[in-house]
Formats: sequence, structure tokens, C-alpha cells
Amino acid sequence: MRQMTCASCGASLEVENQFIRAVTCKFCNSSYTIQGDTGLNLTGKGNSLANYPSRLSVGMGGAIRGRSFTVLGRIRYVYDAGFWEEWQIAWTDQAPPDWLEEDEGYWTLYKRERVKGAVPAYDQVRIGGSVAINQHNVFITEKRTAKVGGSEGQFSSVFPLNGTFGYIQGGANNKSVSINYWEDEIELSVGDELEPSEITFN
Amino acid sequence: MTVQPLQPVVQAITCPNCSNPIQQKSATSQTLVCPACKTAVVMGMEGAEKYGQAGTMPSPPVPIAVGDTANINGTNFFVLGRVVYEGWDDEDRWRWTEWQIGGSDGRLLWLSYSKDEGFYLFRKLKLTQPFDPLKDRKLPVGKQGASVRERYPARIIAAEGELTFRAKEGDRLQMIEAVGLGGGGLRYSIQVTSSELEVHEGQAWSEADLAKAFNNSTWTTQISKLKGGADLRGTVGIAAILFAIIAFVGGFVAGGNRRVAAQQDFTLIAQAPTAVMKVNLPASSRPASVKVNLLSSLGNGQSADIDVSIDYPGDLEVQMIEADFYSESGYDDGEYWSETVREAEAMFIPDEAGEYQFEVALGANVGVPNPNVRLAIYRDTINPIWMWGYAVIALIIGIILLISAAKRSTAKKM
Repeated sequence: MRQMTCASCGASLEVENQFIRAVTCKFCNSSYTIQGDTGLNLTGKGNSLANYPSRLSVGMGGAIRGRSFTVLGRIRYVYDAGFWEEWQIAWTDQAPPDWLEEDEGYWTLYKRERVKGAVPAYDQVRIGGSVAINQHNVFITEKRTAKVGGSEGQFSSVFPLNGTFGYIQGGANNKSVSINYWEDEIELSVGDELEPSEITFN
Repeated sequence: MTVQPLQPVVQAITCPNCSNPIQQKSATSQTLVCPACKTAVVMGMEGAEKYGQAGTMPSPPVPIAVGDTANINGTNFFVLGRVVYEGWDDEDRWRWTEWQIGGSDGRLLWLSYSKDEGFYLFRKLKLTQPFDPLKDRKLPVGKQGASVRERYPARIIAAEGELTFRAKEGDRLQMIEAVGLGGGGLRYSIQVTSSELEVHEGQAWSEADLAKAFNNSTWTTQISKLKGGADLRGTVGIAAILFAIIAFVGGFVAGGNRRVAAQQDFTLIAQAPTAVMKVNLPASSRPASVKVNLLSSLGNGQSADIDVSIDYPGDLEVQMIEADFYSESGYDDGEYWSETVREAEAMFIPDEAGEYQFEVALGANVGVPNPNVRLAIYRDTINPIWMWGYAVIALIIGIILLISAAKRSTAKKM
């Protein structure tokens, strides 16, 4: 773990492992990307997250299918009909961090996957249709635009604090698939829906 | 069983319409209905926003209210909100109620109730296989999938409490219902909007089990009473159908179980167009009957009028039968048909003892030359029409009662 200092308020910033690319100061909500071993690049100030009670919080631990994790960060996305949150988790076995998403109390464990081929344009995708992405034939169940509503903690990817982005969600071969159409990047995540008994919290 | 309250108040917001404080109990709620002005308040990007009116909420069909707690399969749940929907098709409109309930384990479930289907507890399901909501007949869920049963539009009639989606009176959605093919009584509800296709999987619950889960002894007692009423209706319905069967059979038996008092064959000719049969009958309150049969053959298109009258012992004369015997056939829309009538019967009460004279006579139309007729008098006749009438009435009552009892039963059982 590395210790860094918030350029805005002087608070200590902890960087958990080598996979972390962005960090948010929990005191002043300043967001930074990490450059090299010591550099911090201020990307802006996000909104503070309302202190909603949740079964997860930054810093707490748990286990998924017997594999231990620690929560590094939380990001909230808001869209015209509400919001959802994703939790960045670090595995204690030092594997690259993954994401946990909760939907009506059911958890999905998402892994980022590198996009290897063409991805259909956001405007060409429709609900109930299917699109081919990497080796997945994704059946589309959701299509909206959203923006980052706030964040806290550390993240393995960099996300813009301003502006909206399109996203689609769907399923392929019993996996959940999520594609975010950021302004300068298309982000593909493939997830496993967890049975309630498969996730425990410390 | 004591059920503890589960969810603390997450935050209090102010209604943007009337400034009434609204307590939010679930972190993921998207709609909060102001209890004071019934405004649907949504949690938008800029905070609480007025979304529209939530509508006038009808009384709940069962005693489940926002704020109630339940223990379902060992997990404590809290009733967050309620929505009443109306669906329709070309012929009908129907309503159903859904309660959103939040569990202490974080799960959010939907308890659905409709008069026809009873109670189902739904959970959200992710669809990972292609499904065309407009035309596919099979929903790719589970090992064997589900069969699409119905597609119909629906709208929100009213909402209360808090909900995990944006809801106001009049909001429309497209519904698809499917039934699981793998057994287990699973139902699937699919909601389609321009932005999302959501699937929920439901398991039936009995009202009695729900009342127990909500730890509501008054409700449990009501169910027991209603069940007793349904059982009584079922018992009476079965009894009425048994009576109908007995009455039907009894009608046949009683109608045929009569005694021949006299019988005689006559040939009626133009020179002697009438014949008389005299019969001594005892006084009786039970009806007797006189029956006339045409014994001569009837060719196609032939007919003959035969009349029968009774001369009572007290000189009262009554015309009993004016029969038109005939045989006809032909084609109707290419279908051959034939019809022959050669028998007529009438009943009378021999209320005085003595000699009754039965006169059989040729009528105005004599299409059969010198017809042979048989005149028969029966005593102690029971008219089966009455018994069959009672049987039909009993059958209808029995079926209504059984359907009523069965509806109550199927709507509430798992």
C-alpha cells in the first residue's frame, strides 16, 4: 500500500495496490488519476455520496464463493429514472480488482474485459435485440444514458466526472454483460450473478 | 413469532409540492409518494423532483399495509410500497396489486395479488438468452423455459409508499406473462419499456401462509372463516348436484312406473269415425294419462289428425288431445332430415270414482285411410317434467356453489 497526499486538502490518500488508477479523497471529494509512483493528477471534484446504509462500505471485507475481498471504492451512476451503485473490490489473493453491482438485493460480480473487435454503435442497439461483442452474442435488456453521480475510495479505472454516457446491459450464455460508451472509451464488463448464499460480508 | 422492524429511516426529504416531510426507508427507492398530497416524488439527478400524481389508492384487497413487517422463509421483510395496475385487452379490463417488500438481507421482492391468480412472490431475474418481446412464444429461463401466455398493455392506477422505479398514475407499460414449463408452478412477469426489459420470477403463496408470515392473527381468523364458508358452499354444491342426478333418474323411473288401467286398438273409418272406450277408475289425487298411438304406417308427407276427449262420470266432457300425426323428410342446406310423430299423451286427475268414457275420433285431416290407433289409459302417473325441472335448478345451483368454492380455494392455495 502506498500513501499519497491530497493536493486539495492535505489529507492522506491510500493506494491499495498496483492496479489502482484513480482515487477520491474522502474528505474533500477531489478525484485524482495516479501517474507513476508518486504523481497525482487532479481530475475534478465529485459530489459527496449520501450516507445510505448498505451491506457494503468502503473498507469492509467479505467473501464471494469462499474468496476473500476488501471494498476499495464505490461509484454511483445516475440516470433519468434513478441511480445504481458499483463497488470496486480488491481480492486478498492479489488478483486484479473486480466490480460488484447490486440490483434489487441480488449481486453480480463483474470483470472488465478487453474489447477485441468491433462494437456496434450505441444508436444502433435496441432493447430486445442482440449484438455480437468479442465472443459474446449479447441479448440487450437495457439501454439508457447516465452520468457519474459521485464516488469514494480507489478505482482500477478512470471515469469522467462530468458529462453523460450511454450504456447497454444484457445477457449472453448465462452471463451478464454491461457496455459503457464513454466519450473516449468503450468499456466491456462481463458478470456472474451470485446466489445470496454465495456472498458473505464481514 | 415476533417480527422486528427492519429498516431505519434512511433520510427525510421535503415534498416539492406541499413541503410535507417524507421518510425514505430504502436506499434504492426511486419514487416516494407524499402521504399528504399524493405527489409522486422521484429522486432525480438534482435531488427530489415532482414527477406527477400517484393517484387515489384503492383499499388493499388484504390487510397488508406499507410499513408492515413479515418473516418470509426465515428472512425479515418490510413493506415499502404498493402499486395497483390495470391491464386490458379487446374484451376485458382487470386489476392487480403489487407490494414491494425489502428484506433484511438486502433483497427486494414483489408480492403480487390478483383475484384470479391469488398471491405470487416475485424476484428479479436477469435474462441472458435472446427473447423477442413482440413475438416469441417461449421465454428462455431455467432448464425448460416458460411458455408465454399473454401479452397486454397495462397502466398504473395508483401508488403509495416507496418504489424502486419511477411510478405515477397513468404510466404505461407492456406486460408479458409466462408459465414455467419445468413444473413447480413458476410464473414469469416481463415488463417492457423503451429503455428496459425486466423479468421477474414468481412462486405462488397461499393467503394463509402469508397471514402467518405477517403474523396477523386477525387475518388468519378471517381466512379460517372464509375457508369454512367455501367448504360449506362446496358441500352444499355437491349435495345439490347429487339431488339433481337423483331427480333426473327418479324422473325417468317414476315416469315409467305407472299402471295400465285399460288399452284397446281401434280402426277408424269414414263411416265410423269415432270409437269409445269405457274405463272404471277409482278417485285419486294422482294424475292419470291418456295416450294415443297411430299404429298404421305413415308414408312420407302423409298426416292424420286424431282427437281424444274424456267424458267424466259427472258428465263433464273435456277435449284432451288434438294430435297431428305426420311423417316428413327433406334436405336442409344439403343435409337430409326426417321427422315422424305418431304418439300423443295428456294427463288428467280422476278426482271422482266411476266410469270414464274416452272417445277417439278422426279429425279434419285424414291423410291415412282407415287408421289403426291404440288408446291406453294409465293410472298413478308421475309427470317427470317437474322432477327434471327441479333437477335442472339444483344442477345450476350446485355448479355455481362449486365454482364459487373452487375459486376461493384455487386463489388461495400454493
